[in-house]
Amino acid sequence: MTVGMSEGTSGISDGVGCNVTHCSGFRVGGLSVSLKGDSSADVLLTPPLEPFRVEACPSDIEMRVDWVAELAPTQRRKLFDSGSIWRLYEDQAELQFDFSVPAFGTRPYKRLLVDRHFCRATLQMNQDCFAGTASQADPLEYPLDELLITHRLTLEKGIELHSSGIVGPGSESNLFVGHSGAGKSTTSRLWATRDGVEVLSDDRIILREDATQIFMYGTPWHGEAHFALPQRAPLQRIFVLEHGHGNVLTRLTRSQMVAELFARSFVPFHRHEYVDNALSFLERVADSVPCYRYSFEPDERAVEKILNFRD
Amino acid sequence: MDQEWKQVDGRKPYQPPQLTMINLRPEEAVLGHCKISGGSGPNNTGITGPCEILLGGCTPLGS
Repeated sequence: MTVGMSEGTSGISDGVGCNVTHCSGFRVGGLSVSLKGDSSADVLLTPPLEPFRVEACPSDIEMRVDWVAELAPTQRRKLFDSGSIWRLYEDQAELQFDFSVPAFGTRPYKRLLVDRHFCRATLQMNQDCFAGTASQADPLEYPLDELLITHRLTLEKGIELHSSGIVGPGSESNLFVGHSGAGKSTTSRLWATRDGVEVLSDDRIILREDATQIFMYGTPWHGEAHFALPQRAPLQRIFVLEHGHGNVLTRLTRSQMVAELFARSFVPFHRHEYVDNALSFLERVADSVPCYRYSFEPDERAVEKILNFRD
Repeated sequence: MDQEWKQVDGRKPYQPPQLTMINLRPEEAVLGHCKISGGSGPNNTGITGPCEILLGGCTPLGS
C-alpha cells in the first residue's frame, strides 16, 4: 500500500512500466492509455472500453493505480472547479484532479496526479472511502478516462466534439454535431438502418489531423443509441444539427463554423494555451471541410436529403 | 479595376471581421455532468460506484 502523498512533492509513481502485477490498455482517438496496478480489479476495463482494448505498452499515457490509506484535502492552488465531481489543482510539477462527492465530505475518493505533458499519471484510490461498502471501485469511472484523453488532445492536433460520426454508404463520411437533444442519437439510428453504414459514435467524436487530412474517430462515450466503434474515417462534411421544419441546409462561414464547433467541443478551459490550440485546430478543420447548419425533421427524408446533397 | 487586380493577384475580396455569438453550456462543455449512460461509469457496467450509491444515480443528458 502507498501512503498518501505529501504536499509539494511529486506523487507520480516511479516504475510505471509493465513489470507490475497487472496491466491493461486502451486506445481512443489514436491515443493509447496503459493501466497498471496490483490487482485485476485495478486495471479493469469496463464494457464500453473493451472494444478499445489494446496491448498495454508502449502507450501515450501511462497510468499507475495505487490504493492509499487516506487522501487529505489539498493545499495546492485550485485551477478549476467542474461544478460536478472533480476539481483541478496544480503546483509547479504536476496537475492534480480530485474527485469527491457529498457523502464523503470534503475528502476525495480518488486523486489523479499527472505530469503537464499528460504522459505519466498516478491514480490514488482512497481506501477509507470504499471500506465497509458493497461498492466495487472502478478506477476509470467516467469522467476520468475522458478527462485524460481530452487533456492530452489539447497537446496534439485534435479535439473532441459533441457529435455523431457516420460512415457510408459508399464514400460518405459525415459528422453531425449538436448539443444534447439536438438529434445526434436520432440521426444515428436513422442512418444505421441503411446498408453499408457504420456509426462511429452517436455522441462523442474525436477529430485529429494527420499530414494530409482530418480524421474522425469513434469513442467509447456513446449516447442513448449506444453506438461506439474503435475505428476512424476521413472527414468529408460537417453538419450542425438543429430541429426545424423541413430539411434545410445553410452553409456556414469559416468564423461561424469555428464558433459553432467550439461551442460543442470538450476543451479544458483552465489554460489559455489549451483554448488557443483548440481554436487553431478548428480553423484548420474549417479550411479543410465544409460545414452546414442542418435544420431537420427526424425521419428518413432527413437522411435522403444528405445522401442527395452535393457541395 | 479593383476586381480585375484582385483576380490577377489571386487575393480574396476583403471581408470585414464578423462577430459570431455562441452559447456555451457549462453542463455540457465540462465533463462530469452525469453523462453516465454514455460513459464507462457505474450505470452501464452494473458495478456500483460512488456516483451511483452516493448521488442516487443520475439522469443522463440526452444526445
